[in-house]
Amino acid sequence: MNALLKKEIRTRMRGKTIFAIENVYLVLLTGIFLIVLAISSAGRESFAWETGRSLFETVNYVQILLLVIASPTIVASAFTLEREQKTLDMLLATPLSLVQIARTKLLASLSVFFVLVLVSLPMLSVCFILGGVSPSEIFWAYFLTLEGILLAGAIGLCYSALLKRTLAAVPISSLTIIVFLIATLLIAKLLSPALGTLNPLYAFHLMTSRWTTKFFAFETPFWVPSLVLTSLLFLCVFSYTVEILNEEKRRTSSQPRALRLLFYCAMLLFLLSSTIEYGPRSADIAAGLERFVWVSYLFCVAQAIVVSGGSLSGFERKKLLSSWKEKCLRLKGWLGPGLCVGPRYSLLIAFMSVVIFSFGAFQVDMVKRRMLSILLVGCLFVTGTLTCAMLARFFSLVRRTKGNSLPRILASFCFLIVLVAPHLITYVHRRGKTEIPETAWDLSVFFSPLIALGYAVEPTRTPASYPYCAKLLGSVPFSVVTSLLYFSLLIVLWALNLRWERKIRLSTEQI
Amino acid sequence: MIARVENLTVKYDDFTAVSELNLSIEEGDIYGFIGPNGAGKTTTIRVMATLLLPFAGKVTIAGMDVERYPEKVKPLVGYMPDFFGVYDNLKVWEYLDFFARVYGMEPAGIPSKINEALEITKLEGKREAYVDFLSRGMKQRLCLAKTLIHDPKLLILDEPASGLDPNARVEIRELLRTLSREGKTIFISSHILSELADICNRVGIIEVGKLVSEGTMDQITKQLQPGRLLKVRARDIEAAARFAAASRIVLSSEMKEGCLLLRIEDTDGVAERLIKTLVDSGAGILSVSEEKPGLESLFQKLTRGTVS
Repeated sequence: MNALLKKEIRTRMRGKTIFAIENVYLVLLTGIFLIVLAISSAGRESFAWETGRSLFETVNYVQILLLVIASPTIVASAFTLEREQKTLDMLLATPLSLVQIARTKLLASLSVFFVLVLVSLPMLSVCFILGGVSPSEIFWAYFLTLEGILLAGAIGLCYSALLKRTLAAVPISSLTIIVFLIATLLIAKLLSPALGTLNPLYAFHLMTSRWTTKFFAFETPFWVPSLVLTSLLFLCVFSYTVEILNEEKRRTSSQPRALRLLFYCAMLLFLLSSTIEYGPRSADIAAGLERFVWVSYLFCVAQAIVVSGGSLSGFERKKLLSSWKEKCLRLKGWLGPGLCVGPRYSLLIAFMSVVIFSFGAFQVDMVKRRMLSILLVGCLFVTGTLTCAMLARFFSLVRRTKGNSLPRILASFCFLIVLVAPHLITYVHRRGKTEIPETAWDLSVFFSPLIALGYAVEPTRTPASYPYCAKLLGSVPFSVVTSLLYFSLLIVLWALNLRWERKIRLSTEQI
Repeated sequence: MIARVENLTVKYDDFTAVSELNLSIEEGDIYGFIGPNGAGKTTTIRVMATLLLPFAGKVTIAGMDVERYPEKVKPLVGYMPDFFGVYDNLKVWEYLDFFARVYGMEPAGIPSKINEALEITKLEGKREAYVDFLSRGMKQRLCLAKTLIHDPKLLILDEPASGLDPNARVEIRELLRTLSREGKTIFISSHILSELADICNRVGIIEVGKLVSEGTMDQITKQLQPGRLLKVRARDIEAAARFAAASRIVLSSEMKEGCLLLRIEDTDGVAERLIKTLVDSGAGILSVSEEKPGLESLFQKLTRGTVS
């Protein structure tokens, strides 16, 4: 056994807290078990399997809730206690890597909860004897509980690395878990049931509801997407923790790497969740695919704005003017927009192409249509992303203040206007409150990248809701026009960038 | 050379804690790293112990860059921090066993290594005691035992005697001498020069993140106070001062507590000539003795007591 794990378990098991926790937990769970047993067998005639089923569900809901809320409270002291006892430096000076230390700390702290999970096994065995519950259901219930404990533990560990004091880390991590559980439930109900599976309570609810689960349009067991999403979030939180510990070595206040990691993870979570469908009946494949492409597009645009908005960063205006002739500075300025269709975006587009294909893979006759779809989506991505990047670069060039926030905010604002305006115009027109000619509002939808992406996913679909567009297009796909529009905009913005650069160059020469 | 610090600069955001520091430690050295509180000693030590990354410059241990190869450097170094604690609910031997295993020692050799470390640090009697119940001095010795357990080439000790009573300080000094005799290289920091003067063969003095002096104790003394200092007691001290000044071999003179302090060149025969002149002067010379400079005054002269 790993020396650190052995030491951690040894010191924890010698303490009195562990026995107190185990006893309180057992008493609580037994109490709930007996109450549910009394309620289900009193009043009306019920079958034994019904009692077994309700016992199984209640005990599991309570167990998941208790353990998931309690686990970060123990884990949150993993690093803060080391700091308070002044033993962290000695531990970090050993040949153990940060990943090894963090992993062992997490497992050792959670060992208490693994014991608690085992303690409840006899109670669930009673449910099994009463009937109504299959062995696989008991297995998956435990699987979800452990998955939830690990995720909550990782969040506690993250706070333990982030905060200096145990007294702060413990309540904040517990509060975060409570907020997380409520937020994921709300997301599950209002936005995406797939993201809701990050919540072990909701995942257990899905398991007992026996809904159909589709991952990348293929029917899969319910736990596959849940495991994928939870693992992803777990890995992200864990990596973030290691990154925070690493930052201590650098002793600088900036944490861009760690924050970037969180951003990528959040986007990846959204991307993946958009490929998952849960429902009582067969889900709409096209809708899932459309949502996936939308999220990918927003991800790319956000990245483009962030990269290009900060492509001329670190240079004050004065310095920028005085050193404008330096090639590296110009290169840095142009590299921003270039990066926006660089290697990682190419990877994303490739990944997206696989998804688009997999959605249509089960229909062989659709292969040609899928190819066209990938081409159109690719064109929309490249033109849209580059346009936003060029816009952000332009704002970065013309700004008169330090910092990168303003160019990014302005570019985001412009993009939002383009995103919302066509829908707003349509809405206003349909309410019949304006005298806007039909052709004008109909044509405005060509500017909406999201509508264009919707039609790119299904290229043969005619825009029936926009009759003037349909008449104008004929057999030409809708997305072609949007791509061309954005391409024109890109050329205009490029020219603007060059013109502004020339202006700066001239003023530098005058100085 | 076991360790080398080259142009080391460490910054905490805008604050520079260590600035272009250069040090070199030879194998078998007991190197005293001395400076007032806040001078940058602990920061330098933390970089050497791979706990902090340098802003500029580099530190090499046994020829390996600590920034690039921390995993190879760590087993070669035994680090004892200035402030440290111990784990609860752990016995002395379990504590040492944990560190021995973490450093990847062969399990079969661990018990004998624990016994050896306990014997050196005189903690054999506390083998089964819980570490959180040990006294401060014992915890200090236990930490030293932990530092020695994996047989490191270089011991980096950050103020190992701080907070200890005089007896415990003497014990720690004895312990360091023993380790040095066994061939260990020791890099030890302190803000008290006199504490290290008689055990270190080399000393580096740091102030405001910069090395102000480095060398053997004799070299540092000579660098600061060239020549020899003679203390003269006489019945007529004024007359003795006049004759001494007239002899033209005295570099400087001063009166202190009724005695005459004379600085002369450190060359053969100069002291004898001066003593003869004074005796012949009839000033009633009572005694002439050589005055060694006080270590604390020397330290103050070097560091001016400022901190970074």
